[in-house]
Amino acid sequence: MSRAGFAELTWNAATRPGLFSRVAGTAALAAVLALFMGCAPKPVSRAGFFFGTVIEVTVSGSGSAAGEAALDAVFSRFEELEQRLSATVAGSDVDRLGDGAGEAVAVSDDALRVLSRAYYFAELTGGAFDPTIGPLVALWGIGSDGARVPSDEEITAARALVDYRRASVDEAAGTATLSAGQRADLGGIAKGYAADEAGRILNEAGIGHALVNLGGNILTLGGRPEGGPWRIGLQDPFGERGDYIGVLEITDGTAVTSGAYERYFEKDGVRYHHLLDPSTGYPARSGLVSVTIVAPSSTDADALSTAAFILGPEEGIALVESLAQTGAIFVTEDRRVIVTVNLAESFKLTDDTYTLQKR
Amino acid sequence: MILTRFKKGDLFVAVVTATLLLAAGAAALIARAGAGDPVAIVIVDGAAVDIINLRDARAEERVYASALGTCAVAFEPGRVRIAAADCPDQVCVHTGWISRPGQSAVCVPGRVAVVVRGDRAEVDAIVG
Repeated sequence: MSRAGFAELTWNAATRPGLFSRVAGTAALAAVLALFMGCAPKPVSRAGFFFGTVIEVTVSGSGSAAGEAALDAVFSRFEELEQRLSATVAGSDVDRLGDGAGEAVAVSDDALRVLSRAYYFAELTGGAFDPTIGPLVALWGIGSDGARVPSDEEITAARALVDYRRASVDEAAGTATLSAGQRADLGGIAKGYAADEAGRILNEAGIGHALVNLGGNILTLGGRPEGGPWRIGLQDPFGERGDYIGVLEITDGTAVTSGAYERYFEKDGVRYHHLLDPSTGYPARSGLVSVTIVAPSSTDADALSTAAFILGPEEGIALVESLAQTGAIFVTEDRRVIVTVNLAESFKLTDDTYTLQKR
Repeated sequence: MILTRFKKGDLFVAVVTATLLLAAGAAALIARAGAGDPVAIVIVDGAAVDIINLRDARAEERVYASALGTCAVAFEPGRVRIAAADCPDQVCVHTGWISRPGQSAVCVPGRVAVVVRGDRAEVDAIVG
């Protein structure tokens, strides 16, 4: 806001209009500034439970009636997407796709879009991200009551079913196909798609500033209502929920983290987290504790954070650096924080028990 | 370039601008003063049902029932926690005391959440 204001002042000085118009312009500018700094319209917030997590959406920059209506639309959309994309909702597209494995199954446009983007990232990452990981996710049950360490035989059998190259989508026909025995799981991408859909709906409703928080996946519209970028804390992978090790500034963008601390269980002193490596069938052990991706699309950031975590620091950074407008923050088990060059200005490490490693 | 063309009218504009900017800044500060205490928000079935300033909180326990479960929330000056819940995983109870803006204790099966927020928080949200 203030930057736009100064641009306007410069324009006034350069074109030298009459004194009255200059004063009027300045007063209007100050009024706008006062509106945004002191008496901005009250932000409207709502929370709900979808995709196994708590979702909070805050909007401002519009009247509160318009804000409430936009929130209604966003939360009905979340409900619809959960019914279509969740692997654990009976009768969802993803559930029916698994039940009908072996033949083409008609699915919603949402499922087609997410599956086709998921296969794109499976291809791009050589299967580090694989939406056919369903049998392994179900076997481990991490995050459910039935979480357990499977036997090697069980893992080998489940792993044999995980292969995106034996699955496909036909967008023209409106169908998707898995091979016999395969099951899809969109847990690594569906929340990102839901965030993008929330952003699209709010944008179309004319909402100027919004903060969408899907259980720690962040999407923003505009900047802070009072001016400047949103300030997003980076969760401390070794700390309590809400402890952060640095601050990331975002305007009109999204940040998604995959962290070993998010969902896990412990057995005989070993921690098993939910980021399963399709190539081993076990939780990924890549030396990383979290990967945060900053990108224009939350769908892409979601898939990429999972893939980069599984690939590890070297290959993960190479992957991120090969993509336009995409940045990342990697946190390693030995408390190093690796930041891509394009985030050097917008990310500040605030916890000196970590070591910053620039690319 | 701009300096050489600086005239009396421009000085007037600059003074007016500076005054208005200072006034706007002061208004913003006044609007935010006293609004920086951590606030606990209890969310049941997606709606905020209680908003409690944690600095002024008394030691007490409140019970919240959602469509899917019941949670006992314990307040103390400066902090809050989910003390008991009838959910199977007890993740919310194991979260323990929370006190800083950005922290939350969430019972996903029971659809009850306690989040701590503050207007003058250093950050708007936590990614992770």
